[in-house]
Amino acid sequence: MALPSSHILPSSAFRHIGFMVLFMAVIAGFSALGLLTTQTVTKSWIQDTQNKMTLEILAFDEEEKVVFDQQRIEQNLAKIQKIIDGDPIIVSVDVTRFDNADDIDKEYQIPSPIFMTFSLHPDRAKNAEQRIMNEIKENVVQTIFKKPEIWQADINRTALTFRFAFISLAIGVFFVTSLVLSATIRTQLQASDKTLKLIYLMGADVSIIVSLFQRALIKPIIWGGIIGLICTGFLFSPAVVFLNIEIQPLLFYGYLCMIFLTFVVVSYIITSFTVRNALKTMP
Amino acid sequence: MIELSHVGLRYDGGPEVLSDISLTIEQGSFHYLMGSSGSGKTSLMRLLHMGKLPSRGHITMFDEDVAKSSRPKRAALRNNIGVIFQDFRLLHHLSIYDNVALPLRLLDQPEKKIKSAVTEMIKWIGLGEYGHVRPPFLSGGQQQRVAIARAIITKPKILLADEPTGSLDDPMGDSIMKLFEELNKRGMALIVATHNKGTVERFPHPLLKLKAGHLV
Ligand SMILES: Nc1ncnc2c1ncn2[C@@H]1O[C@H](COP(=O)(O)OP(=O)(O)O)[C@@H](O)[C@H]1O
Ligand SMILES: [Mg+2]
Repeated sequence: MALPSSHILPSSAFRHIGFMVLFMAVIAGFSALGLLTTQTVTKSWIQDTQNKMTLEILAFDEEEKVVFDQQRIEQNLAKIQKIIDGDPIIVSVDVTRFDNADDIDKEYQIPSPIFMTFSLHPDRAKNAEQRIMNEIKENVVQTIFKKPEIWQADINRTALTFRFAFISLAIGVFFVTSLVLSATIRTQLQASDKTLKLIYLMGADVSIIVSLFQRALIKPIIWGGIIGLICTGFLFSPAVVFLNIEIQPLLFYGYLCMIFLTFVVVSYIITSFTVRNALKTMP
Repeated sequence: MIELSHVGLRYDGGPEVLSDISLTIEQGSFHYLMGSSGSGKTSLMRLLHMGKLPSRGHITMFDEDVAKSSRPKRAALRNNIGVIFQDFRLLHHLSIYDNVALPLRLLDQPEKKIKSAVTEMIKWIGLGEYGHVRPPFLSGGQQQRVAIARAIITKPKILLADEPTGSLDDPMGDSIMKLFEELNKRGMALIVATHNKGTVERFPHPLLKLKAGHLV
């Protein structure tokens, strides 16, 4: 039955439902974008660490609780540089010092550690860096190595936190929206109680009345959804371009459509339930 | 067409407001339902349009036992019955046109057919100019006529009118009675609840008298 609900129900009855769906679509878009950003950034970080190894030349001895003097640290650096000199798997070495400012008197200067970042040859044999690590550890005791895997584990842990946050946001907003949606539908149907009973007494079957109200709902939901998708596109496309996020539009919009469909289904079920409940006492 | 046999009605386990009602409504008949306020006129009307089921006895409508019918079946039966409620029950958010068109739309009639039928109907009740106006902006008599138009737009086999002249002065009430007699001449059965003796005298028809829930 193609009964136009606008000729029967107040046109304003379900208008604010559209706004709710719009709001949800934008939040859903935001969380999807957050997930994608996390994914992209993580990927590029992991790529960065793939051929990198870091080494810290310590400024103190943990066990003996002694602080080395700067000269000893520099000697260690020289030793390491000698070991790796000409090694085929090392492409370049970056040495970072945390020198104290020059205006501080040299005498009171606290010795500072030295950080080294090795760029490794991408075509090296698996675990080839282990050989260098062992050699350095034998000669220079006070060092801390970080292999690519350790950096990657750190990154993955951070990424997981972000993913969890974005997914929780989406789920949370989804549930709140569903709840508010249900409440609104029920309130509106209660307000339409007289109309409901009148058209029932006019000989409209329950299923017709249910579908009448469902069709009244679907319009604002579709409008809210469409405007929400457009808003999402406008709001987030600069971010997508700027952050160079890898985005699969089909997947992204597919996900939003899924949420959207869930709302339609939830609204339909609640409408059917509430209408049938309201007419339960009628013969 | 409609047959009640030893029908009783009580609301929510309360006392019987209708007791042992037996009557037959024939096609094309015209009855008044008379009785003082609280005698059970509206309650009997409710049974006749299946707004309530009897708590005892049997009602047969168009050869169907009402109590045994399914809901969709009852919905189909209701399509043969036009009701003018004592309180009109017009939808205030709709125009007069949409109020009158409502039953046709529920029957999923094509909009073109609805337009010609409703336009003609509104003209017939003398409200041709008021199609776009909403009920709260009309007088009681005008609203009454909209309620009549809505009840008869589907050409039901029987029209139930609950005190249709109750709130109107005599000339206005008489004009509505003339509408009813015209409908009756076209073959529609009518039951008109009233306690206005003047109306009954000027437009004589058989009486069904209710007294404290009993037919007398
Ligand atoms: N919905 C209802 N619930 C409970 N009692 C009702 C209801 N409608 C009517 N009654 C009672 O039924 C009796 C008959 O009322 P009604 O059928 O409205 O009489 P009338 O229309 O002749 O004034 C009254 O005692 C009234 O209080
Ligand atoms: Mg009454």
